[in-house]
Amino acid sequence: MKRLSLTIVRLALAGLGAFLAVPAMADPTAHDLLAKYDAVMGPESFESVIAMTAHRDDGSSRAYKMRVLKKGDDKFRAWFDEPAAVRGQEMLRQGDNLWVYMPSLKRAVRLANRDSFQGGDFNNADVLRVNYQADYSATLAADAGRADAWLLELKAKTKDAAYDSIKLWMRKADLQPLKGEYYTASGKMLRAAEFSEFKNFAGLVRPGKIVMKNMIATQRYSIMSWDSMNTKVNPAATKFVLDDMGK
Amino acid sequence: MAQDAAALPDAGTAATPEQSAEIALVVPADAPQRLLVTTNGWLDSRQSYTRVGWDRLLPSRDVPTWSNLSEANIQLKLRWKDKDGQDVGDGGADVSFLYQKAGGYWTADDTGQQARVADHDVATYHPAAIVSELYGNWRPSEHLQILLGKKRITWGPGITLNPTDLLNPPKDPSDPTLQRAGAWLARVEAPFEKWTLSLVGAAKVTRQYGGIPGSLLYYPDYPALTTLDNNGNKVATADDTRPHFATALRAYGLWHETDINAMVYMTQLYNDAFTWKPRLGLSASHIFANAWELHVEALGQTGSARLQVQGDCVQSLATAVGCVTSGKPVAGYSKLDDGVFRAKAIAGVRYMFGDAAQVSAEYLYNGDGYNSNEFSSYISAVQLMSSAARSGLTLPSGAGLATPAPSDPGSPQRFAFDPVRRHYALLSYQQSQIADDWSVIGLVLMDLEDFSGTLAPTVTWSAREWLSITAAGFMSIPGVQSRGGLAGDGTRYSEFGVNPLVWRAFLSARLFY
Repeated sequence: MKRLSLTIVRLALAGLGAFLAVPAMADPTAHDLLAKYDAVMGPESFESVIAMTAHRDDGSSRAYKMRVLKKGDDKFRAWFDEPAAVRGQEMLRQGDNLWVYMPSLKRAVRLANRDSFQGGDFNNADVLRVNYQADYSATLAADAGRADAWLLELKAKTKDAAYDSIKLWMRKADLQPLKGEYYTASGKMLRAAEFSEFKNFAGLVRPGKIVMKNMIATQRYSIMSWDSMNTKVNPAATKFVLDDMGK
Repeated sequence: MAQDAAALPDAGTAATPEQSAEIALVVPADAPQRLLVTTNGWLDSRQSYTRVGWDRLLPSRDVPTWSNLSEANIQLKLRWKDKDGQDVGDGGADVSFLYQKAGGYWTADDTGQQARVADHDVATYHPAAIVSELYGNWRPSEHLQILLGKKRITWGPGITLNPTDLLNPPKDPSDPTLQRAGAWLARVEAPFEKWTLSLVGAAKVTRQYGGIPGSLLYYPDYPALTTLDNNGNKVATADDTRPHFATALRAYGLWHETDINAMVYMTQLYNDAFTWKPRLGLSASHIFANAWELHVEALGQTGSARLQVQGDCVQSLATAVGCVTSGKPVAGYSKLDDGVFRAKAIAGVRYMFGDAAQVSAEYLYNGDGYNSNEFSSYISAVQLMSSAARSGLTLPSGAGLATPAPSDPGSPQRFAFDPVRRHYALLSYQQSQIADDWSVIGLVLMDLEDFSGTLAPTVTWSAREWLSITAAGFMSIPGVQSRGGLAGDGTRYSEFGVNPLVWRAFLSARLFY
């Protein structure tokens, strides 16, 4: 009898614990989802090794490998390691400013955010400017076809945003991004992204692979995959200045 | 209802049990790398064919019809980090070994007819080792860096030309990848998030062997009767005991999304005839509407280091002889210390199309360039010297102002642009992906006073990730002859119309590793 009572108490405590551990939650707001997207795709600081393969109309492809470093909301560096023809090339973003360093010229020049990233199907902002909270206002919309996902509709709120609008699907269960569509002001879809191969980088779970399809030249797509991501780095702010490029 | 983001499932760490099974765990490396080494380079073979303007005003006897340039390049970059992953130093090298062959020389004979010149030794086509960069940079703290060695430092935003660049050998606007050489210098730099202070001291190479410097700053005191000046000409050095250097203090700021540089230079016999000359430089670059880049870059000083020709001395060989015998200088640096403020400025706009294409237009004001009369005197002098050269006399140093002679001895250049007049337009178009693996560059450089210029198109095919094939051309545009300078014999010549190069084409194969 005593053993039975103990078991009942244990079950009750376990049930209470479970109740306390999973509080009832209201639906997240668009603002919350956008904050989560930025937290997953652009943590405060990180250093990563990223591979990108650009697939072209004729079936051929070009592979790139780069090391990237991010600090805060607006500082980003990228160093290209592969292929050999672009090794030594660098990119820097500080705020709304973007530069590329060309080793063949030994100098850096300013770039626009909307330029394509290494001729692939990502643009510079897709890679170097993952701070949607700063660039877009968001509203929640319904997608009857995807009951498992939230649909966010983003509208550019700064002139420096890369797209006029974006549709973003995030998985309800864990708020991981699943899919994105990127539009011009005329409503034309430029690109479509699929997020997959979720990885745990020392505690940070995020998509390890993004397939970006070109919706203008529909045979073209680029795949970006994250080989490593270290969120424990604390790079100096002077790593993100124009004069550090090429060193 | 708004909800605190922190109360939501943490997307960065949480996952449902079903999803956990599909999440791969990436184990980080135990310790960060302390030394990062990057190496790359290329093997390049370039075949050139030139349509020689044997009847042009400037002598063509050293301009080959065909040439081959083979280059082996290695670039090394080192970066040291401390145990916390912070940079403590870096270093770099960019070295090329060149083997060149050239032949097929033509000129005009005494009767003005085309005549073959026997293949002969031309310094520009010697095999050479080119140390473009070789430096070490120590970072004792986040806000202090000390660099020593050879480094190319360019602060101005000009696309085809940088008026504020007094340190490096002039770049070739038609083929900038061939001009990566820097200067031997020491630099102390204090970088901060929005601004940087740089103090630079650079020493002129006063003697070199096959591209390797033998002495810096002072000319050697052992018997050295001649050395090469910036145009590759031999000049006497025995009496020159002064130091040849440039110093620069530069402040950079990122202000309202604009790159701003302010520079103060002191130069002495570094790349020109100025001694202990202060100069001021300013530049700015800004992007508008996410597509337009506007830039301006200017340098100002009092005086002019441009060679001034006495017009009445160069009307004929007889007047020149008369001036020489009477002790009147035919040419000299008469405006070197005249106290008149002169500026050299470039202003330009670059439009980025969004598909990796860009077009730029720049205007260059060359404040110490020749006016119409001075240009006529210059042309008359060139005509006299050209006649003398065709008669077998040696051209004096400085005669090659408009020739495609290299400004950095041993460094291969298709074209060295040294503007001698006052107004120029520089237009360029670049499409790095006109089709998959194909890129094009077009450049037009034009003297706005006589509309002569050069046109330099380039097409590159990246056949493999490690191989690119480039076809390039270089054509001189004769311009409007009637607007050119008036020579002593009554003939008018445009600035680029005197160039002994009608056109040049080259094919290059470059293997990257």
